[in-house]
Amino acid sequence: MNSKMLKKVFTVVCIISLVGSLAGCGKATKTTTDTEKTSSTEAKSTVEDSSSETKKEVTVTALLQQSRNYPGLQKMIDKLKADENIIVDLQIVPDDQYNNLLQMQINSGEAPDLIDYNLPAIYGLIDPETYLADLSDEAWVENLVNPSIVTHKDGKVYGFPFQASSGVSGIVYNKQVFEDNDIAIPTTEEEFNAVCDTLLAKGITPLLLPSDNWVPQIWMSIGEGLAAGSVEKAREIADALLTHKKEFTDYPELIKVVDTYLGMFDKGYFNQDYLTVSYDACLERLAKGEGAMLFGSAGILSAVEGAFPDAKVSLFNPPFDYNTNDALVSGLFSIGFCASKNSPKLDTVKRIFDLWSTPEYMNMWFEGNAGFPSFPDVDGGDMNDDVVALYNEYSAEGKIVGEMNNYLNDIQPLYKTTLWVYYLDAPSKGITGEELLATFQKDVNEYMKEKQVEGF
Amino acid sequence: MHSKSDKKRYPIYFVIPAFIFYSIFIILPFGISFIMSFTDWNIERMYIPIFRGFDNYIAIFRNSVFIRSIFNTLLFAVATTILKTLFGLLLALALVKVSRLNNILRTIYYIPCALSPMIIGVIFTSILANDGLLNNVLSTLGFSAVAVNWLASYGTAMSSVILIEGWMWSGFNMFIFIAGIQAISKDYYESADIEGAPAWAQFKSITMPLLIPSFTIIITLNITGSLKVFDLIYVLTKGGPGFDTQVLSTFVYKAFGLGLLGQSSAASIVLSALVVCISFVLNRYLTKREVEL
Repeated sequence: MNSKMLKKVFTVVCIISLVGSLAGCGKATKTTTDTEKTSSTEAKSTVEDSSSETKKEVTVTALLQQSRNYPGLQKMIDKLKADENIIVDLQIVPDDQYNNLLQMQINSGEAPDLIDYNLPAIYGLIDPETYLADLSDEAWVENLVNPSIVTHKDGKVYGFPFQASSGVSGIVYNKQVFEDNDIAIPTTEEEFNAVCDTLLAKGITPLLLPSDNWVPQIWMSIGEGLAAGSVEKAREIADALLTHKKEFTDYPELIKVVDTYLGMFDKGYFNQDYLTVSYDACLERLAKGEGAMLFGSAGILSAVEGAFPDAKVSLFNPPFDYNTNDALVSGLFSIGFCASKNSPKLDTVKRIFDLWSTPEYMNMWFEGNAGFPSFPDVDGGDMNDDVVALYNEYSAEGKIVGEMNNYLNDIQPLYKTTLWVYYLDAPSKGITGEELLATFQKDVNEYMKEKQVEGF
Repeated sequence: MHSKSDKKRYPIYFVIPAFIFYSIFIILPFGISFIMSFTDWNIERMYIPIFRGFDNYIAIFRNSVFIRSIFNTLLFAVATTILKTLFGLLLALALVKVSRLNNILRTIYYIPCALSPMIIGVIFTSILANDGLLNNVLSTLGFSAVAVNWLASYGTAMSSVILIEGWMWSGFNMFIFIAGIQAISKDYYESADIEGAPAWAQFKSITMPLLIPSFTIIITLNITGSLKVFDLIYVLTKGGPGFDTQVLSTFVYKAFGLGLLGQSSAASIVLSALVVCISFVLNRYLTKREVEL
């Protein structure tokens, strides 16, 4: 083969590869879409064939955060399509863009029929009375295990919750590591430090921290809840902060929470690569016993157990000095959906909620996603025994308090872009708790002023 | 027979589609952004923005993160432009001769700029991780002391991003320089050879002056592109650690994320003004130095 011929062959191969790869990319998407369309059409025609006389096809739109696109929810949607001829047209949005997109759709009068959110938090993000349908008179409301979690301060229910609570929050730990090293669960801050020193001496990272700023914030949100000590006190602090009667730095207990966390860096308890390591990598280290503890909620247990079936993980209440009331934090967190007030398909949406409130549907949501269901007959899956015991113990004593973030809903858009970044940035820059909160207070003041909130 | 005025109007018809497209998607949004940057427009007051003068501009210039973003943007733009231009020129000089090996090498050096910055970012996040490829190689070679967490401090994180950007786009610049070098008449070099001019003198007195038009294109394109950097920074460092590697585009994104659309518009106007001014001045300066072939 002469060189001209070789060049031609090489050029043709390159072109074919390039076109092939580009077409491959396009085809992959198209195939998925086509498959979806085909299956959707097939499902549609099947339903139409079997029950078209009784059930007319209705499509409702829904906005969903990417991280909440659980397989269980997909099953519920498929069942709606198969049994009721209701199609839920999901618009799945990356989590960090969700708030903006939701607010933009709502403010431009193009809100979807169904809106996914952590229900207690949505009341801080948008005005429920203006934008969300009042569901207080729906039959399922009477059956809610924990109606307070979805009840707005005006006494109305604007959302349909899947969970009665997200369970307890605290320190997730590797049980095997603790057992192998004869370590008992610490009950005081002194004991906690001793445990960390023991682990450190054995070459195990005592506390894991990823670059994903969700973990340090949960540490602080739990800590501030514990430092408040009760729901009433937490609400009182939040009210004072949100009306600018007080500032963060006016509360020494809040400063202490941040300082306790920052002190752990000085003692070398955290993994050194906390500024770059991913959250998933931290979970893996926890499961493999390379790290012993991680701040978080009960949901992390199922995530670790799901990904690493051999891992023995559990959770204990943070034993820090600021927890003077010996309280336990349970996140005021309940994933669910709201209905848009001006939805032309409101009746269908209400019908969906009716159906979803039955065990037949809701059991699916908890498959592989164990938790505390919002309805009594629903199977919430296998919860970690320690977590259930902890929850029962503190709830019997009435010593459960929410995470502080839950009470400070109005400033939640600031968290991810400022406060949580400060938490990760402070240790390497030698910033103290007081300085950190003072900086955040400036952000809060500017933000609330921008929102024209009275008092700022 | 077509009249004279028809002939004059004729080329305008061809411009109209581009003009409409450009106006709707570039000029109009820019105009709206400019107006909105003087209002208290935010996500909760989408339809009732109130004029507030220069408040947004004052607010962003009082923000230390914004000032840092301007500094980082300029640093990134200048450093990457120097790197890309230098590497591009060296590659062009090395690969200008047509040969089979050079053709293959040109393709290899061009590949990075054909890849998505997001993919490059993800790849380099793994390479530069604390237990990533780079540190493993350094440790294997006995340089454990130099192995650091590359993206965890300002100096190494910013340098890494600059070097990656330089690596990505050198291949593109190489092609522009090769085209420029190939356009220079061989006669100049033959005359220089007859006069006994050494290679360095030929490069300095023939190649470089006649390459100025290529420099004009490369520097202008690179500066404007680098001033708008977003994707690489966002994927590699997310503007961190802390806010250390924030650039103007990530600042705008953050302000938009908070729903502060007025401030976000003000920041993007500053970015646009910066890009336009720098490009204009540079272009004017470099064009004046161009030599006719």
